[in-house]
Amino acid sequence: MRAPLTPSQTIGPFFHEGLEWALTRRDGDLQDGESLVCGAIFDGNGDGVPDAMLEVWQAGGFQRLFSDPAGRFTFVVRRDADDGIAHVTIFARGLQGAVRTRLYAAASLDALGSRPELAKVPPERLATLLPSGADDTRRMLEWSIHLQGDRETVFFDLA
Amino acid sequence: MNPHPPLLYPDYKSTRARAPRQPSIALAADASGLVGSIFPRSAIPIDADLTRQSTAEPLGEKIIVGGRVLDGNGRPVRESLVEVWQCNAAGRYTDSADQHHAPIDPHFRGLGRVLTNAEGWYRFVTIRPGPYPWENHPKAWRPAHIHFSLFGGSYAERLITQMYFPGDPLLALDPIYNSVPSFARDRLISSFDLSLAVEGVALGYRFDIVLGGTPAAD
Repeated sequence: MRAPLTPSQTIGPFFHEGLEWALTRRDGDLQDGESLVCGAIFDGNGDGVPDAMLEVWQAGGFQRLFSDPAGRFTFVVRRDADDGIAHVTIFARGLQGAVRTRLYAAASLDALGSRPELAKVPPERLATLLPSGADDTRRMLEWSIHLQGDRETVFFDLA
Repeated sequence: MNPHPPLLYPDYKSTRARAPRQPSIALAADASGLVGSIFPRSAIPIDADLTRQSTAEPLGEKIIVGGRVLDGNGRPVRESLVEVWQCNAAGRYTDSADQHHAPIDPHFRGLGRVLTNAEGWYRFVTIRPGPYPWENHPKAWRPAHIHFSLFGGSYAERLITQMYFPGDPLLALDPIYNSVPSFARDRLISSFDLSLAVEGVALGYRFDIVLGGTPAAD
């Protein structure tokens, strides 16, 4: 028998003190196979979203981070685990529930085009799921999230 | 039926520039294989009494809030983290982003963390939060509410929501509450429950939560 699901509501603007106990702070060097992802989250006006919480799930790891006043964030991804896929859940004032996307940290555009779960993604939007820049070693990756607009990130629905 | 509010709900102004506009891509809920037990129990600073986080008692009406966390098949979500945060009896958050002119209560922070038990029950002690004004529309005030953050058994079950109180006249005027499809709105309203009350100390409110994302196995 199915139980009636509880609706989601926005995290609102005042969550920081309540949820910061579980923030992930990484000190020290990256391990082999890890990359540091640096980026920002933007609204439809191109402004940074200063009151977002991101949760990054990867096999064997969970990170919680808050965007800074300019919308910037950093997290660590393992390129050699879970196909380098980071599952990213976004909460923010003005988001009515969990908004989910993925970063394919170890993939190429060609490789994404042949992944069955992405078959319904318009090809011109696939690049939003890849780093937009990297250093020579791929230890530093750039990846930003655009909630709206010409560069709107691909979001996923698990319902 | 989908009980969740639409991402774009123009009456809630902040959705206008933030709600994604492109259709989302459907994924099988279990595709990621990610489980929900992400915090070792020993790493969670359990704090179920929000009225004893200071050297003196906070101002306001002390209440008990309790209920069960269930999965979509009606089974208890066991030993799962429930995070709550709220404003004080005057409607003010301690969060530095809240600058409205109601007083901060030096004896109330409004933050709690509890684990469900083997039957999915949680319970915490707090102060009934006040309503507060916000800038969404003229004379806009949020109905009194407590924010809840929940983890189920998998990535897909992660939920953040708000609990409201029965009989609040502000509910009918609140775009965040009313953005929920009408058939599911009352699921966000706690019920007055004397069985949770503590004699001479606090009245009780019951709020059960059902997390989605679990495939129907039976």
